[in-house]
Amino acid sequence: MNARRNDYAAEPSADLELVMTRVFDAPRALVYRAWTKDMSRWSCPRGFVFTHNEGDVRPGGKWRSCMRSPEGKDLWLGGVYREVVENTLLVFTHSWDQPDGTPGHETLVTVKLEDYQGKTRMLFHQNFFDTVASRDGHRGGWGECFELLQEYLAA
Amino acid sequence: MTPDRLSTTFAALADPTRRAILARLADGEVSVQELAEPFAISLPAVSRHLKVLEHAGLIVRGREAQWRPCRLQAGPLKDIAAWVEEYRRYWDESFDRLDIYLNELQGKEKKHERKKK
Repeated sequence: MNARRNDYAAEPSADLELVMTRVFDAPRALVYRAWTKDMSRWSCPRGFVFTHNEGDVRPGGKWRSCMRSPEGKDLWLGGVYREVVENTLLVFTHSWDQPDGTPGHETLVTVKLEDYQGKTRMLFHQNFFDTVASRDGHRGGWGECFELLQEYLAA
Repeated sequence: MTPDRLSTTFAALADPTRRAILARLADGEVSVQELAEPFAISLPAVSRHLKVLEHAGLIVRGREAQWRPCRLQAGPLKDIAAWVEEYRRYWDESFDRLDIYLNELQGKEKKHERKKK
């Protein structure tokens, strides 16, 4: 048995989030266009096709998409743009519809684009808890859950 | 896992006190009394938090009336980890396609440039 710990209410060290970085051999404006106008060309799993795609790319603007699975099942997803800086930054909420048509758990996606050695570096960040809806009063504090997760997955 | 279950887990985790309780339980079984000690909240308030965690399947509680030890259950946390992993694969594949798409676009543009020259 471990010694009694009294520090568990301390501030967490990390968030549970998805962080990915990619370098694309293309100008920033083109990568930005791909994110805002041409998402249906690339953003879906293999074998899926977009059947619906619309987005009002400005803060507060909604986006809505539908992709059809190889089995012909339609999956709807959508969200709201929170921050938009042309060729530089996109922040939007993201959630898959549940079978009953209501939005599922909302996540927050941040896409930052920067020049990098004549190419474009994309910093992609998806936060699974700290969306605008749940932000107030619940900011941070996911680190310990993540640590639990690691411990139990390692066990 | 159904989306509803996922929402229940997230809702249960969306509270700093409940997350601290879970972190405490990672050390092993603890009584409700012990759990309440470090927090400036009442025993009934801690019990309410425990009910939420129990409902989400994140903890189980012993049956003894006085000593109702709480124990962590990892199942729902593993489900979240699996869900996050699905997202990683989804984006990873998408970014591969984005890479190809950007090359296609530029391939076309480069050809135009050559024509101009």
